[in-house]
Amino acid sequence: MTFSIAVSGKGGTGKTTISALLITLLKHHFDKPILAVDSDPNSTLNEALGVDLTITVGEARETLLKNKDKLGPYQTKEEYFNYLFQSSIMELDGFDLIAMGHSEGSGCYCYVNNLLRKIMDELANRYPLMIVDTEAGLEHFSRRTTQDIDILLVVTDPTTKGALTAKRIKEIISSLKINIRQVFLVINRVTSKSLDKIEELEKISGLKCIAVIPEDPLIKEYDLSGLSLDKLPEKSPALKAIKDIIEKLNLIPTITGEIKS
Amino acid sequence: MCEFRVFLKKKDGEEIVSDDIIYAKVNGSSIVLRGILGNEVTVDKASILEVDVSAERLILTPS
Repeated sequence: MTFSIAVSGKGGTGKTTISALLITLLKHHFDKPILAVDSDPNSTLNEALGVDLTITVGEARETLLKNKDKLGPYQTKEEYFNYLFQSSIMELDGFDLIAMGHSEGSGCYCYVNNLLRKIMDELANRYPLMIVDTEAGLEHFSRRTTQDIDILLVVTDPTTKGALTAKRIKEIISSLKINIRQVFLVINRVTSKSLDKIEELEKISGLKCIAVIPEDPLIKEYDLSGLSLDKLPEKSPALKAIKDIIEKLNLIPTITGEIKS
Repeated sequence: MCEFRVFLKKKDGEEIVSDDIIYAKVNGSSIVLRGILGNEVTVDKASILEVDVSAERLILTPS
């Protein structure tokens, strides 16, 4: 059974950065690659990881719909979709990446959400670990795109708005009875001026804070330059903080233990 | 959230016809259903009884 970690929270709090750093630090610890899922229609996880997207789930669907009447006599729509779907899984160094993307034109993202859920269920047992970078806000919980998760990291910046979003996430998980085993708060981009707010933010959110990640000028620099976060040096404060999360949660032995059992 | 589960009403309940349906059309005495991947299902001798968007249910009845 795949161990799953999802990263959620208010927009702009650093979910994708944290997801990318988790993937970077965990990808070579298991016998098989891990799975990275970008469930944000605005796919940016690949950029944080320094890779180009080949095709998203949304694009695979659009291509199928355009070509469904042009298939030869020996290929069914299901076979063609499976081919496109396999093409949307990028096999990289230590991890595979799948990005939800979005449908063309106007309209909602219900169909791609639906397809991504099915794909994640299908892929569930093929990987030791799945890390999901979710879209901002609450909708992906209501849609149940995010469900059956072992660890949910709710990211906030050191603001009351962010902590209130975290509180709403906690409430929605409870009200929808979504199967999430453990939920933790991660307070990101903390400066010396905001250190004294940590306890208050934790209290507002109603969640246990597992990590306080300092504001890291290297992350900003890499973001501005479009550099991949897997090139971050060891001295990066954010990288060190993510390593601490991995240790605190005892992730590697836990996942390895689950694989063996 | 925009996809229906389609049911056919039976004497003793409802039978699931298809999931993830996003289009339904009356074609004579049949109903043509289409899913999110463009796959089609035709239900003969049926008519649309009820459409419930918030519950994502579309119920057909034999006609």
